[in-house]
Amino acid sequence: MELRGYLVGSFPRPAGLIKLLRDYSKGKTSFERLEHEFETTVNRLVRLQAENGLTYVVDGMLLWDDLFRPLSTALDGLEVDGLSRWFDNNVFFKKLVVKNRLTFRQSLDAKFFNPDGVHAFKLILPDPYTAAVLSEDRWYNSLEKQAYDWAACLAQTASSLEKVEQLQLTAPSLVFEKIPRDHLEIAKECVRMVKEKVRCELMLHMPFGNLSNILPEVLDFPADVIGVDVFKTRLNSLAEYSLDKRLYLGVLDGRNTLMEDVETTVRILEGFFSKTGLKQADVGPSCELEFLPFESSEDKVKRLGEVLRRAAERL
Amino acid sequence: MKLFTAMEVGSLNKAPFIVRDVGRAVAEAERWGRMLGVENYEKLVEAVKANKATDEELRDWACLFGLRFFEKAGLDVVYDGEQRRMEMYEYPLYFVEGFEFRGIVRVWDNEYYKKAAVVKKPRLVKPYHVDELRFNKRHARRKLKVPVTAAYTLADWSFDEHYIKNTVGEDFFERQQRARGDFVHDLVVNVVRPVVQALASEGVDYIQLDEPAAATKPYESELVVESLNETVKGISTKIAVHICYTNYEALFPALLELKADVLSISCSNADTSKLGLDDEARVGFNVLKKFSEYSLPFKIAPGVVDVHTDFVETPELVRDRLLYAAKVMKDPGLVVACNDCGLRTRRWDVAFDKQVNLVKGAELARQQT
Repeated sequence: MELRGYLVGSFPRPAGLIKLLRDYSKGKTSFERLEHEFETTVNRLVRLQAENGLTYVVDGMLLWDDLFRPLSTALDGLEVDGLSRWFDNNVFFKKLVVKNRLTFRQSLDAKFFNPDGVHAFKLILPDPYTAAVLSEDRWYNSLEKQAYDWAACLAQTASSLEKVEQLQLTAPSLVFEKIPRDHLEIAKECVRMVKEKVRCELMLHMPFGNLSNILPEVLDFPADVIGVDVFKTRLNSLAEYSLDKRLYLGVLDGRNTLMEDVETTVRILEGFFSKTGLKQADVGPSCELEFLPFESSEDKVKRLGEVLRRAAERL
Repeated sequence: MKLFTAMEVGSLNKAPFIVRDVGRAVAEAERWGRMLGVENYEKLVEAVKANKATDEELRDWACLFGLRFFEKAGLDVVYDGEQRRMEMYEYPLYFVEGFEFRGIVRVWDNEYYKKAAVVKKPRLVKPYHVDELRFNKRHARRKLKVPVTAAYTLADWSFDEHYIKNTVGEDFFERQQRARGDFVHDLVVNVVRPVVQALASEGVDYIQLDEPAAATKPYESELVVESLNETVKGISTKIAVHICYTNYEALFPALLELKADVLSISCSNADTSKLGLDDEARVGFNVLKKFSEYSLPFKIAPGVVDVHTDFVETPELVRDRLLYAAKVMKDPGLVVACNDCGLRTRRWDVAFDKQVNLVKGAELARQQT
């Protein structure tokens, strides 16, 4: 059983950073003080992931107010609108309104992605289909055209950044509810467009929904890794298919503070490997750790490290 | 019940005299006391001036001012603006064993709330809101409606460190589903129903069950409705259910089984400020068309006042929103006049003007029906 482990989204902000961001917006603290706290936290999180044996690390995405906001400054054609619910969570994102043709303007600011050159960094972006579905279209009048332009822009965003070892496209809209077959084709083409432009490993992660909604078609998507939220997808339903693609199994609940039992988790994984004949897989949280208090999110990373170590011992 | 009865929904911002600046506190106590006709408000003014008012006394005064606020505006069903409560999730959990606060989690951008985990089967330590209701009953001059956070929302806004752990099985998904049902059920039986029973036994006109999380997980709409119905089983007090800012269609058809007298929903936040009874002007109320397809077991209280803007709806706008709702529902008797949600986010001046116009608009709608 060969396991790799890594995270699939943002970290929550620690209390100190929350306070400094509030103070900074009111002019009560300096940019330097805020920047120092931000960098200290990023270093702490990267170190935590590295110490726990994670294959790829994220910088925490601490200044991403949501998965779309940084794109409103990186791309032309977008405006930020009001709050919308982030799937079935008590968390809200600001919907983007497409007011003109989407075009790439500039690379993401370093505060949103700044690999240290030492660790293997992953970049996380929305998948083009999810971005199109969750935006308000006032320009294209066509989901397909909008999605393809999202794909072109996101591909350019990713390829404009250096030192990206894995690109993750976060695609909850593919699985949260059943989608029409022609939408699945659009989503697949979008992934192909991104894959064509990037040189790193490409992961398509689908939290908050049941992967069975798009099985087996999703196994033909041109992604290197398919990410599954196993708190929404029955593992047995995956075992029915011939799995020749690398799977990421979100076996740690990213939305609950309960720390998973290491032995039980490894045993379930062993059972799954035995049923499917898989020899390798990736594991981690089911989704971003944003839904947890900061301290609990750190504990989840440590728990992931324990799962990886226990699994390695069983080899 | 008269046509277009005007009801408040819940919270008000904290009373304007609850501020550190003594001079401002005195001025606000005088201004609002006089304007709302609060009996003996001069005593509050003197106590604030002399810095002799205790926190408990200030809370009592705030509740009295809250009651008079809605009564003076002319609403038919009132409460105290939830002046004793800090908010709707954290407050009740202080009266329940079995939860531990884990820290803060983001709601959006840099806004956070304190979130607890259930760590053992919840047990009610003391029925909350009862003392508050008794106070309000002693002072109210209109019908009262007491708001209570319902079980599904308490569960949805909490982490689960107990039920999942105690649910057997090798499948993550199935364990989580079973645990969820058990958690909500225990909250109904051990916490919320006893609170509702205690409030009902005190004698109150309405109990409002707040379920803002109701449509967060569309696949759990049956659990939401079942838990609400279980909560009010055997209760003869009139029941209002408040569900705001959500996709109401996701709750169908389960919602048709809801055992309530009134369902209050938010509409005005998505509406225009144009006058008129056409679909374009009343775009925020289009959701009522879904409700009108069925023979509903409850009245509908569409929010005709947006609580997230300082724009004060004119009486004519309130009227048109109510008349449009009556037209869509094909029966004005099914429509109650309400706000979208609690007015906590608005200053008292703005909130008061909004409530005055809510009442005036309801009267205009009655005249035209």
